[in-house]
Amino acid sequence: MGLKNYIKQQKAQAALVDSLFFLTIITALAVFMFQYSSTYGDRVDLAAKNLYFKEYASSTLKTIFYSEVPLNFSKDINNTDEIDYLMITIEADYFPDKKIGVSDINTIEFGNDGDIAKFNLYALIKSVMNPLPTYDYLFYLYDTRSANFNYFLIKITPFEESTQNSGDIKNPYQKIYSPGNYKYYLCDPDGYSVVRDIVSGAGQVYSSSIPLNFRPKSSEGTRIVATFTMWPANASIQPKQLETATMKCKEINQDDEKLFAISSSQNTVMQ
Amino acid sequence: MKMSITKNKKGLIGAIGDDLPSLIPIFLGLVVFFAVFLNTYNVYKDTSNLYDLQQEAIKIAMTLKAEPLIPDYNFFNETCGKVNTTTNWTAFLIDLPLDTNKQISLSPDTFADNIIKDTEENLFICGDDNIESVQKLLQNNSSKLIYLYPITVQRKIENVEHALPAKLYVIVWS
Repeated sequence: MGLKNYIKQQKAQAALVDSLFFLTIITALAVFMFQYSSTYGDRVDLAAKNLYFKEYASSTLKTIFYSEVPLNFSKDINNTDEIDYLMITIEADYFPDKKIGVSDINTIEFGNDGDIAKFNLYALIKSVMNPLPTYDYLFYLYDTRSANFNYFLIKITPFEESTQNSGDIKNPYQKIYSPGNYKYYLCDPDGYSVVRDIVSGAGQVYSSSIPLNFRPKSSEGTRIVATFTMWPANASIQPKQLETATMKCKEINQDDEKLFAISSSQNTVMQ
Repeated sequence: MKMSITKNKKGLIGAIGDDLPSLIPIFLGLVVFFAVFLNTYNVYKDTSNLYDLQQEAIKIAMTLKAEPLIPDYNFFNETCGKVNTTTNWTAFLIDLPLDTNKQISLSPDTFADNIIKDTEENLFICGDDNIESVQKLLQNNSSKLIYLYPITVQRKIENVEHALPAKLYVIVWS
């Protein structure tokens, strides 16, 4: 009897506890909804971005194959006597000595006519990727039978270690992106695995490949895979990784490139 | 007995008055719930619109660059005719010179001069092909998506056709 009366007397407090339970449930629900709204569409967004950059990589490769280039170092279609499809010039260059250009695979000799095809391949890729400056990339022609690279170009954005303390306890001296100071390398990698090890550090990559067959009339030809890979510029691939004994990369001297572009234009105009 | 009744009557200030302490958390809970619900709905609606636009832009671009080489103006026009969308869009081609120093970024003032043309009348622009409205679109800060792809376009240089790289811009807005 005494207990019954006691419970009756506690009625109002029970209603208060109920309402507090209700508030707890609502708060949990609100947190869940807020979390949902803040992450809503992240996957869709990622999928759309992936699709865009994959398409960009594929379009870049197609543009390389379908475009014509001037057959000199001028980079100007109006300042040349000869124009041809880039891949035809590459193929024609390849047949006599089974290599592209007359210089070593990891160098371009500006001004040497034997390296015009090699130079134009570099210039065209650089031009097509110019609208996406925050992306690094590589392009190679790989002979699948001999397992050798015939051409290997890589662009990287150097990141410098900051001298100022950022205040971040874990990473006080952060790596800073230095815009515009891009580096282009021609390389002679020891094998496919060396390249794979370097690219695997880049994180999210977008790649596109096309199989080719450089085939003269008399022989079976050479099976080559042209691959273009791009990734958001980051500090994981830096010059010191490229200038190794296994990658054998040499930086393309962009001052020489400018110099020869000007002199080629002047020569053509004078002619 | 009298004392017990007094004890039971403790806090009795009416039907609502008695439940007032429990009503406050209930109202608070309802307000929080509907506020968050409304916010979630708005975010969902805005984000969905953005993704719909993104998908439409990619769909338009896929149609326009189905062929890696655009041989002439008529082909470009025919391809534009295949775009099936209810979204506002425009697409145009701008030259992509080999020399990166000569490349130009998309600017409202100069973009019209840089659109590739077959003749003075035949500019490689479709969708909303009114130059002034596209100029206004580029100038104002309204929500729009700009997609860019490299493509090859065949053009006449000194009366000879040459396949040269170009930039395909696809712009969509709601």
